[in-house]
Amino acid sequence: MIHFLAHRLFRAVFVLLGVSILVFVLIDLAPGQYFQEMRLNPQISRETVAALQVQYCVGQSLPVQYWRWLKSVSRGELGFSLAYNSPVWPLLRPRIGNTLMLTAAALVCSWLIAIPLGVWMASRAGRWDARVSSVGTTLLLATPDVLIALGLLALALRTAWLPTGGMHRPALDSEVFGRIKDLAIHLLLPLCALTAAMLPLLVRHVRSAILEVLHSPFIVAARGHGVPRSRLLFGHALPAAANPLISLFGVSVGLLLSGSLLIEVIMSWPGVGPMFLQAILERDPHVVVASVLFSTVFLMTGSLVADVSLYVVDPRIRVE
Amino acid sequence: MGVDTPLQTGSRCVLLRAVSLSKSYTRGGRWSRRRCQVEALRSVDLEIRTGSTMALIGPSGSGKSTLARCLACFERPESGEVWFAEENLTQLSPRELIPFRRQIQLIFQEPEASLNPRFRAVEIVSEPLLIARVGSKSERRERALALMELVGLGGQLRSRVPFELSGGQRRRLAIARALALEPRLLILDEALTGLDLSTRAQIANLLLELQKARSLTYLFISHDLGLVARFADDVVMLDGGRVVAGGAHEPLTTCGKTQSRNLLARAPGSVAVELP
Amino acid sequence: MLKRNKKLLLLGTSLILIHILVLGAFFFAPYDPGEQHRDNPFAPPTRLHFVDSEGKLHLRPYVCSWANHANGIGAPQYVEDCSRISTLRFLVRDERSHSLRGLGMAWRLFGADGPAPMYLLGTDDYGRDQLSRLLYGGRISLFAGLLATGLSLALGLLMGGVAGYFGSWLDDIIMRGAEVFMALPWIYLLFAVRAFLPLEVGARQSFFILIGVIGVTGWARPSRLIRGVILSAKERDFVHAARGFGASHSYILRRHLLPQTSAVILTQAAFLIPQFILAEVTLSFLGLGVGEPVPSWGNMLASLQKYYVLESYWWMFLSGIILIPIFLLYNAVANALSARLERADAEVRSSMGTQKLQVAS
Repeated sequence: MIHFLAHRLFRAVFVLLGVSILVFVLIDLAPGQYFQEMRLNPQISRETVAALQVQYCVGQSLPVQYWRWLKSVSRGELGFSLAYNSPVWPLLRPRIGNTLMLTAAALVCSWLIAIPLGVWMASRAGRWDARVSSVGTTLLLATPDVLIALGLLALALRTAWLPTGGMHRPALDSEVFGRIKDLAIHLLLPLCALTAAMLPLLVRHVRSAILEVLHSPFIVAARGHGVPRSRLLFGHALPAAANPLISLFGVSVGLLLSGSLLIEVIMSWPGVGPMFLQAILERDPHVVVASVLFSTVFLMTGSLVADVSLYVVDPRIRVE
Repeated sequence: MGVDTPLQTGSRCVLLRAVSLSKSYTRGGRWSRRRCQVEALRSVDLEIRTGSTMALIGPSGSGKSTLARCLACFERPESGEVWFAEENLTQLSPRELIPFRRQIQLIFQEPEASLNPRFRAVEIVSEPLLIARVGSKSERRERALALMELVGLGGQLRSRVPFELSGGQRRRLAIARALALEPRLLILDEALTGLDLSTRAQIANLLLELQKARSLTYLFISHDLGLVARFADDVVMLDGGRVVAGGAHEPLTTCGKTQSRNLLARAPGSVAVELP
Repeated sequence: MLKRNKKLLLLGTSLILIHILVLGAFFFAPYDPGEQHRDNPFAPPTRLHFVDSEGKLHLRPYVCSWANHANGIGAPQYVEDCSRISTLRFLVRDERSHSLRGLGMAWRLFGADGPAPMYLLGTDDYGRDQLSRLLYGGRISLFAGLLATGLSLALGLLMGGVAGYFGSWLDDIIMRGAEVFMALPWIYLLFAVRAFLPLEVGARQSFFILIGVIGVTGWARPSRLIRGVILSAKERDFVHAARGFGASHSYILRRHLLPQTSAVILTQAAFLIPQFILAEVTLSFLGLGVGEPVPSWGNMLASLQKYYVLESYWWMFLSGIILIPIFLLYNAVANALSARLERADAEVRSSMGTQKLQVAS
């Protein structure tokens, strides 16, 4: 087990380094530079721009810049943002927290809905209510995330039930409970959008995994023994279908991270997404690299959790 | 070939000679912990005389298929030499080897797997001609059809894919293909395995006829000792990668292991093979 | 068996029809995509009347013009003014259009015959007819998806083929590279690669840049699948047999190995095309794709980022809603193809027997 974990972690570090190099190279190859905008501004003198460039070592070669960035990472700064004039980590940290809040909540919600719904649909396959929900799932699956987010936003605007942006009300509430409630209300809309975007895929896979298992002999035998239906489904069928679902869990983390970027931008949730987009448009390289690395780290964590769970749950994998 | 003339240590010339062939495999991936060496062949010596049928027998895992692949030049042995018609094949480069490989044909363990499922029968048989750039397209087609006739596959089967043919028909197709470039040596790796008795007899008879008609030499790998006893002029037995009986320097009068002796004794119709 | 094929045929034909529709936008659309009607910003869809105010039935429906009662103050308020009407006519000549003249023709499928403009799906803030823009925009979005998929599969075939066939260190490098590409969430990778290219480009360039970006980021997963196919096909005896006859690498790849990948490639295409269409829409929506004035479904949706548009002008959603039936079709095709692939695999395996690994026997 330790061996397995060590092996995976070792690979993970390699991949992270590879990703950071890849993104660094890409950003550096990008034409246009942060200071080009400044140069166009007549109020800033050319000398100032040149001095700033030297200060931020913008003109130096790529390996030198990469090395300086690595040193900055080891110091805990993760590079320097040209747009905000500050180390990257303090800028990114609250944003990461917000994105994680949204993504984790959506992960929990979508799986909590997907499993019972998928099991139910599998158990009643062929009957009209399961058919209707199957159609609904297919329809939702074909709906682009952009549309779901915009649609929900339009609904919120029209009905004014939920706030449509940001994380807090401008006036700061003194008591904790009030703040939490305020946060929850603001979280609700992006959470619904992200969950709705993720849900149909999960439901589909749960349904097909359970359907496959339901036909296997040991389920038929258990039914013959008189095991009650719910126990049969959740106690026997679901664990047997665990393998593909655990793998799907790892994949869903990645999909949620992707989805969250779009939703954060559309619904003005102050997460990593809007900052990443802005950094691209403004050519702020260290912020771009740091955002990409954050997303990679969390995707890899999700996969690692899934792999470890598979290892623990399925004895067959340990033998390999 | 004869049923009642067991061993002829006559002076017919040798077509294929293997000298001290050794080969080992590494099992497990490059980074796997369970990496180990498997010695498939250990210093194997073999002589096959022109026009004869030599049988290669032995338990599973004894290295028969590995030997077959080394002799057919699909794999290079680690040490040792393979001589074919006075030419040392192991010294040749892959390019120089090509004309010789065409003279030694291997009929694989599962002919089904050796036929591309998407190719039609006539394409399968004409493929060697295509690769060797023999003749024009129509000439190749004609030769392929003639070969199919030779092995007993009627012309109406020409457009069938392997999936649409029976097991016996597929074997015949594999044989037809192997004959396309007019080889001198055919190595048949379990070619009759997995067929029902009547089909097996038919294919065996076909092989006999072809051998007579085209002066072919056969290396016949099988674990069916009855067949071996009926068709083989010489027998070589492998166990654990080593020759334990028969072969160039060890006629079957000296039998190395009890197991081999028991195996031979138990084979039906093995009266032709005498043991001390 | 035939029924399943029929279903695929039906789905495929519908998709092809849609593509023909957007390719022929110059004929099917009533207006040029860039034609602005500044006095009708955000006009709602014009209603087709079959019965007029006196109860008389018209076989040719007509539309009334929109009169803006806000007079330039605040949001426009439209009221139907049926004193000025146009009838719907088929096969109209359009002399004013630049694009038609460039193509050497002057015909449109249908148009408004009269002073009232016909906005069947409303207009945007520049008064441009949304139906026309939808048709023209489809060209960008649908074909960006198609071409990017082609690029991605070509790259995947190349990489996966080389990795699977030649093996050893080449395989290692390519697969590690694929791992790096797959380690990022898809959108982050897409944006990072997009960031590498210039932001201020002309419309034609940005289209090709977009295809390049989406195609290049998507090579990893197909290459893995193709590598798997090639790896298993490479060990099959018919390849060994061909090699025994003296076949060259290119012959074996061309005649034996690549045809084995065709089923996988087709199925992957059906899965990737909708994903890549969505990638284009997302990128254009956020301003990283095709920009104004060229319409694409993504940048048409971008106007919805303004709250007042989102709240009041529902017809602007249409460029997103149109994706739903298209994705439904593609998803159905993908499901049908992958089911077919599974069935074909199972059939081959059961009838021909699995090939035993030949290590030592």
